[in-house]
Amino acid sequence: MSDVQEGVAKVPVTLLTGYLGAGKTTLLNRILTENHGRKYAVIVNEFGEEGIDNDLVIDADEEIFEMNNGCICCTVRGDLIRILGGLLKRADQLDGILIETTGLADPSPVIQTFFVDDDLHETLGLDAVVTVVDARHFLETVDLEHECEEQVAFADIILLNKTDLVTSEELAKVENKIRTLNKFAVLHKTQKAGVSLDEILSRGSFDLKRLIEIEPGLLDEEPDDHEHDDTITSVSLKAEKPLQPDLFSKWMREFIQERGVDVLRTKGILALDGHDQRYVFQGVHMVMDSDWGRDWLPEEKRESKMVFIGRNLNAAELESAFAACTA
Amino acid sequence: MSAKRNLGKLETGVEVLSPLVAESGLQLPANATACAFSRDSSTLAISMGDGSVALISTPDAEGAPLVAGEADNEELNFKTVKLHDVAAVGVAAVANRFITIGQDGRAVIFDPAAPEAARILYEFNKTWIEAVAVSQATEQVALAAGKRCVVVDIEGTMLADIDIGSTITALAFDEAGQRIAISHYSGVTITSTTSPAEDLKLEWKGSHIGVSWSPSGRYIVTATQEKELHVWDLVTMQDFRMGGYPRKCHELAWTSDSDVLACSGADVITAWSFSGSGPAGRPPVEIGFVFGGTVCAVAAHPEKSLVAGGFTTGNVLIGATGKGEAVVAKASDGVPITCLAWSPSGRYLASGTRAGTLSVFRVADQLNVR
Repeated sequence: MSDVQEGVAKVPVTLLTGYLGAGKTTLLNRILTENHGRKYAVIVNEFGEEGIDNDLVIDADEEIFEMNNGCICCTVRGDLIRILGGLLKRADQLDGILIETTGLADPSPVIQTFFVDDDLHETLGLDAVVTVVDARHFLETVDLEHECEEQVAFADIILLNKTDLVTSEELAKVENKIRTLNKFAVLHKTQKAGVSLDEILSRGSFDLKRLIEIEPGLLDEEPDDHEHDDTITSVSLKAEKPLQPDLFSKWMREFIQERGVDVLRTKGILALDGHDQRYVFQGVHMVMDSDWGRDWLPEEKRESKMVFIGRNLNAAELESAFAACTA
Repeated sequence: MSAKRNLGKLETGVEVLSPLVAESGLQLPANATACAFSRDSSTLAISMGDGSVALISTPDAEGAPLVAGEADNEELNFKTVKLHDVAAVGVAAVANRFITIGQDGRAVIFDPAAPEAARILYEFNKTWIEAVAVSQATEQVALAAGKRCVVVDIEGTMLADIDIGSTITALAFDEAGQRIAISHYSGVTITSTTSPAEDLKLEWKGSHIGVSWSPSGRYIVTATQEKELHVWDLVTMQDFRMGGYPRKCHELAWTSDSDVLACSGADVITAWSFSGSGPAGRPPVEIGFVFGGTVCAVAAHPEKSLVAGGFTTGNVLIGATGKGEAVVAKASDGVPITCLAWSPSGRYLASGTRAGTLSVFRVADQLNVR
């Protein structure tokens, strides 16, 4: 879609998730009180007991509605559209907006809101999903609470917090579990959510123009063998031959149509046959955003890379379907 | 929308400003969020993103008749008064007063002759006021914040306090000021401010982001998140959708005779005829056209069958609702129009932008769009 205000910087929006007690509030307080010279607005779900009396902290209602197209994947946070639109009416220019979800929330309606609403798309940019993980309690909660697992799966950046409260063996186990859910997020180990704010804000994780490289780190490590089917995993795919645009688009359309509920996030940088530009895309459930990226460089290997994070993903099946698109 | 496109004057890229419209402009200290003229057309009030309100006296309370081709760029003076701690997001005129609403949870009322004597009409606790509607008939003021709608008179006396159970997005009184339509998720609630009659619930799944009540009282129209209009006919109790918009069409304006509803959301002003059997099955008239632009504000003339549209390109066009041709009142400057209002006299049109540029147009009586 052409952007009327091409060139006007979009205000970055960071989605902050994390299970109860993981350290989100500590992080938010740092962002609101540290002397970083930038102005952030924070959208929370309820004022804390002490009540944050600040024009820049806005209470959201977490009102979710289904789009009328009947697609259960397309639930959208209506309150965010309203609140973000309202923030843009203010004269003060914001350097960023943070949205805190409740500890029990599935982050996808927030992400989908940015894909679905044109007005937000033009003026604001979803920057990154930042998930705070409690090193001490993660392993207990992750098997019990669906949302805990999803929050990690959706993340672009993970703060593995409270590392001082566990032994190095315990920490390794937590990290290993995180990596089975999400191989691709940037992980910071922290105490008291102590990380440079530059590492978590204005990262451009959802900006297609900045989707430069997919680095499937730790690819060789296989997940624990006793996982049940419902567990979230990440699968990365690579093709060295150019993809046939028609075949690829047909496969993706059908796959997402059928499996969109299970597919939490997708990202891809593709070499399409007959095109000198890179084709970049990303999606959340069934909603997708795609564009032509920069030209392939002469010395660059024209290979296609894709990432799926989701439930019940069959890596072998995906690999062969992807390979078939090169035919 | 399938009607033949009536191309305006902008397809060639040459903007021919109409000699029947004279523009005067000025730079406000902050972005304009809403504007309204006083009931006697003598003052224009603009609410701004810094919480202040600008007041401009029009050159002549009666509206000096414009002679075709008269020079524009008349000197405009304005004064500002800070009324809200955070952004002021709406303004409405009732009796000889203005009411502004803000993200500080306050509705403020003042006489334009003495804005420094402004007082709080109603205050919500820690919640933005999202919408204001006024009834000229009963001089009642409806305010929405969160899930609550409060109706007060201009003295601040509480007349109704309604919890809808879902966040309210917009409000509209009926012409008599007896009932109010409240839009929210899953539809519209119509409630009476004068009788204990049970609320009427108009249901349609999804998020309704704007509501309008036809002056005839017969139709309720909402704009939805899904880029459609939803219409309820209160006589037949049937409802239907009108779609085809590339963008959300939440700006709605009725001509005074209830015949036409003008909407935002497309690269033309869409004007749906509600005369006779209503708009079902009939395409809208497409008024004006700005290449690469989207209508983001609309205002209907208080008497004539004229509507004005503000575009994302900064253009303001005025067109006749029956035809499709339009004249260009304001050239493009790339800054989206955020508010647009006619004076009750019909001689002035005002527009404001996100960058705080304000234009006041004097419109000749003989404006006759060909």
